[in-house]
Amino acid sequence: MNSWIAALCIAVPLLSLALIWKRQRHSVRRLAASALQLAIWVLVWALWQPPALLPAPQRATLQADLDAVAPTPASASRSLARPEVAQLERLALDTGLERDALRDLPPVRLEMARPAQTAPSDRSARWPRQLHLGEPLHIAVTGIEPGTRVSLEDPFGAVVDSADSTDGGSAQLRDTPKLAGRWLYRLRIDGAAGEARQPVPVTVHGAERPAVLLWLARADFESGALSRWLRQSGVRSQVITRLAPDVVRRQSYNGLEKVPDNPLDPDGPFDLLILDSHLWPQLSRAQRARLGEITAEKSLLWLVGADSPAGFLDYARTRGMALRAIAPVESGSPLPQPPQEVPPLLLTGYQPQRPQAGDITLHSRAGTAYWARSNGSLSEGFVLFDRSHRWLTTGHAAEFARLWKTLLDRQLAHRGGRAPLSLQNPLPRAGRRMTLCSPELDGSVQLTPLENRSSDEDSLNGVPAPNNADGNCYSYWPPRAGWYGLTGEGNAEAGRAFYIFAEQDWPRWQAHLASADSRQMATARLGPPSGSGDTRTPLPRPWIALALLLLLSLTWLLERRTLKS
Amino acid sequence: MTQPSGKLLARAARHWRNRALLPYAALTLLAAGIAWQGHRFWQWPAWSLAAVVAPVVLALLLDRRWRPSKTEICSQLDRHFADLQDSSALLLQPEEKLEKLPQLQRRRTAGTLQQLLDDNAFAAFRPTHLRSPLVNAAGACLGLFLYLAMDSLPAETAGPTSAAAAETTAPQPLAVETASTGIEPPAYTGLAPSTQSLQVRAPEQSRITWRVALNKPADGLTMLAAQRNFAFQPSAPLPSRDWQLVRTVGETDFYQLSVNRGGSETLLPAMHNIDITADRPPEFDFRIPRDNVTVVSTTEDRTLLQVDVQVNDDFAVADTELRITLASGSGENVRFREERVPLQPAGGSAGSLRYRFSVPAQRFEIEPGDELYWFLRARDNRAAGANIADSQHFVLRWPQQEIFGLSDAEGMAIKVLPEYFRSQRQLIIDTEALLEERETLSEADFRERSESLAHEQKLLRLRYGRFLGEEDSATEHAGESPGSGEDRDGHGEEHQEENGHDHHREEHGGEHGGHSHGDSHPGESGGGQQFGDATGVVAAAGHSHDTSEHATLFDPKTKELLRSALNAMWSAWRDLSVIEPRASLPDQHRALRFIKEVQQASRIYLQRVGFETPPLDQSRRLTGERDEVDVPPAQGERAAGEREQLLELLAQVRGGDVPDAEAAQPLQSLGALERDPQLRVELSKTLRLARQRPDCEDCRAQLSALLYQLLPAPTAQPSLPLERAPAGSFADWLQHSTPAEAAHE
Repeated sequence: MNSWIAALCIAVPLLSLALIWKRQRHSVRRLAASALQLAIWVLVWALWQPPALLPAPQRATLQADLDAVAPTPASASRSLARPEVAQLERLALDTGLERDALRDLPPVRLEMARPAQTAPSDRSARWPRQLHLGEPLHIAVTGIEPGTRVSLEDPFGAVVDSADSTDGGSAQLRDTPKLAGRWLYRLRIDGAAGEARQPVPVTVHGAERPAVLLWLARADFESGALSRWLRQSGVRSQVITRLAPDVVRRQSYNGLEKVPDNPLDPDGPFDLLILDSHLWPQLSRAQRARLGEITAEKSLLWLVGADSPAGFLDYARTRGMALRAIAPVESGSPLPQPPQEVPPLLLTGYQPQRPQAGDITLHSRAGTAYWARSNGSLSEGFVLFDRSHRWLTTGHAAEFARLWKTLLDRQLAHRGGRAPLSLQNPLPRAGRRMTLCSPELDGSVQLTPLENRSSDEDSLNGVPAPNNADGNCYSYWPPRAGWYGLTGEGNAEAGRAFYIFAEQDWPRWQAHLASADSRQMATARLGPPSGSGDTRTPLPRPWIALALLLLLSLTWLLERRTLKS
Repeated sequence: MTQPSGKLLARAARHWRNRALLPYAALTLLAAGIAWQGHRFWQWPAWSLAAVVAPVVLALLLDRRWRPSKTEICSQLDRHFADLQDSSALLLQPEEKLEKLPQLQRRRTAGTLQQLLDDNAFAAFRPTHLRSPLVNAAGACLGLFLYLAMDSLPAETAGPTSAAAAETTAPQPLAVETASTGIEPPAYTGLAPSTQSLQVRAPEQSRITWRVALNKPADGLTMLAAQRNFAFQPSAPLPSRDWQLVRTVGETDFYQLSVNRGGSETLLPAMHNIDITADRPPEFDFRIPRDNVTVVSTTEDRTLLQVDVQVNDDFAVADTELRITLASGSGENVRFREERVPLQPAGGSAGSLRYRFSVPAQRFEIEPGDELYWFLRARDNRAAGANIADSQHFVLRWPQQEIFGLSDAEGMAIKVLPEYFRSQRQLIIDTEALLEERETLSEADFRERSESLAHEQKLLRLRYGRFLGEEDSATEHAGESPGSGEDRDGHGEEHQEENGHDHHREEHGGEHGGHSHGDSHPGESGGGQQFGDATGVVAAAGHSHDTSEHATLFDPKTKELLRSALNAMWSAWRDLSVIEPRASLPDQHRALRFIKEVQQASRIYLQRVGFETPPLDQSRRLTGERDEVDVPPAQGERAAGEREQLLELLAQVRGGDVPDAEAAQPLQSLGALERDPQLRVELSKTLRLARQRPDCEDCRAQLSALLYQLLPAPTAQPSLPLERAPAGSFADWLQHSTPAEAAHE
């Protein structure tokens, strides 16, 4: 098409010039008419192909076309895909955009219109999305105006905790969910802008209890309290206590049956073996040899008492976890935020000699209360304190349970049945990308709505995403808000549930995340060098058409006089 | 004189116009008046006034009859008045333009017109009243009035036939027509009887009379309360509309009414509360004393025994008594004596009595070291069992003397006061007296007295130091007098004192073994030991240790107190030695305070810690005969508690079923409900609502919320992790899991 237009724009002016030269006798008139004809045809050609003669704008701020708070990536991409954006040298964003929205950005330099210190306050919230029944829910919120009242409502609407935000704009709230299942707490922020209630989804799992062996060289109050806790927790457990040199008491709790005579039998049902350090002289050579295998296959926890046998200390040394003797000393609770009136624990007289990086420790005021080495191939720990049973007699049974639960969680951390699954988005929203990563994730896993599913609503297939340290990653785009579960790799009701937030949830947190994404993209994105390349823009067609019209009008005027004459 | 023709015509036109507008004015006034009345009395809308005036205005604008032109006026004049001989039109033309005959006729017509005007012959000179625009406007106003009137008519006045038809198609439901409750509070409250509706609020034990009138006669009426049912009594022969019930209510409750009619029970759905305000026990407001523990220096000090208290009750305080317990002695020889003293109010009203009294310590033979515990017990005038309240407990303490006369009487207050020993209190008094007299004393006297005080302070310190295993200085200082040798006192004593102080510092946890035998013997210091003085032989030749019981009799805390007292005494001695008695006073007071605490420590028997197990003697364990000991294996199960009961009920409710009364019975014994009667009633109401309305989702949701609120929080339990920790540092995994624990880690 261009060639025909070009041919026309060349042939016709030549013909016009020829006619002019033939008709006009006066040289000045001939030149003027020729120039006029050439100008007309140049404008015709310019109308078809506007020349880039105007300098391009150096910088523009992209705001007017976008939604106020959270433009969808699609709408943002459309705005960014305009040709004039590509002509810019710098593009400033007034409000942040998500990473997905910036994927289609032309190669321009990106910057934030507002510097960081004037950006909206960084509202964010942090809480554990998955809990076991009995674990507390801690939620920490930042970016709140100081002095604002913040309340946490349970799934049934009752306020369970409230606090005023600190001068730093943060608040911490706490509750213990009472039932297993998928629950939606609400965070209510009573601010000057009015009340805002934001969802706080939590999945509470019923505890999958381990089978525990508690083997004691003698009965005492500490082990008695521990035994009672195991029984009341519903844990299948066996407690073997040496009452006398030839007298052993065996107690089985909560339906634990078929326990072999040798507690350290490799076919034993136990996940966790808790042994008294004073038991060492009673262990046979075979049993002692078996201990290494137990730490690899199961989990071994030693209750290190005062005056532990030398053989046990040698064993610990051979395991690379040597203990050094200290004088017994009283110490506070190793847990965070313990009640003030909790009686002190007693460190029984041993401390780690050389803990390594990666070892797990629980520190109290006077020293280490728990030391363990737990990874995929080894799980062995030492309890270095006593007198936690006094917490029961002073009315701190919950703290006692929390202490031992914290300890056993670390001991059993690598004994979970399933591979870890991490959600890459802190705030997954309806219609947006949600990325899951796991070492065992594959394309067969689908995301399925768990509530109010309509008959024509299909499960979502994942799209492969770049892998990272968390394993294989797949992205999903859930269409609406609510609970979703994974199917294909197991029962979706087994606990792999995720909550997708609605568009209007947590608006300030969304803005904060978008701003963070944009700032990261701005620092990483260099764009084209300044002044390089063609930064001119074409002439607007209306101007060209107007000029052509003027010239044609002039031509008509001149020809009209001629006709008259 | 004849007026100009223009004026004559204008007058005629004015006549015509005024009479033409008269009907419009009348119509406007009439319509506006009716509209205003309708708005005021018949709830017509406010726009009705403007709506009725609008057609009149429109008609006025459209009607041209009331504003004719001059030509039309002339034609109307000719039509109405024959005397004008149809010549009125001549008046419109100027006379000078007419010929003689028309001029003449014009003049005649003008005169006739003026004559008619002057004779008021224009009464009928007007357009017809029933002209079209006016009639249309009146019709429009009438139509609007009819519409407004129809619209404001009430529905039931639509007609008697339709009401009867409605009654025959739907019978009137059974309902309470009128109801009232008569509240008679108990006589002791002094409250007047009152009348309330079916929602009742009354003090406890009020006698409440329900009077209910139904809209239909019934055979029985029952009150279904939370736990029991109560039958109403008919006020007329059965079947009766009027019913009555009398109850004495002691606890918050709620109820519904059930009507028995024709053998069938009809439950009225409304639930009514009975809010009972409990009679609270008396409360105490102490103005004096402010502190719970008061140290009384002398029994003559009456101000410390004064008490000013206000006892408040919601109705009346019946009586108040003072309960006193005196503790005498110390150690294991403590004796107690109790007394009760009824109090008389000093003022106030029945519900708020004020008591001002002095604790009658003079009744008892108070000795130094005694303690007197007292509190108030008040009783209110509640009829069926008074509420009794005890105030906080107060302690009056008489400090012990600081002198311990015999070494084997530690812990017991000995009243012996040897003359050559001054107590710390006496030293303080003497130091203060010295400072007061400073102006009157010479420098040498001042110096001598200060040195004497320093000497006494040192002796006192050494005396107390015996209990920490320090050397007994009694023999080494026998024969010395204050001020006998300044240098010797200053240097030798200092040297000895330092050794003693070091010796004191080496004390460790009550162990006597820290004692250094290399320390100075009293005889070696070059003190003034006289030949033949037998008292110094033991000290010179031997090393008289205190027995271990002396050094270890006190518990560690008491020994710390004693050590602090000795340190304070040493500081006081130092200042007195350098003739700075004023600087020594704070240390002397501090020493006195510590000594007093040591003396009182023997009476502190409580220790609030968890159960501290006695140490096991491992050497004696497991040494019995074990031949026939056979320990059978034991089985144990987790004990189901409140949580399991509530979980079961909650699961039932969330599954769509509502537990029946028998299944919900265990709820009544929940601790949370026993402590909160309001919550108990709320739960009962919610349960009943949910049972009565099985399809009510909100009712079940409310019940679920209430059960969830009652559910005890689960304690932490051992559990296998849902996911095994990822490869890498476990600390990193913790960082991602819980912020609180991660921060602690």
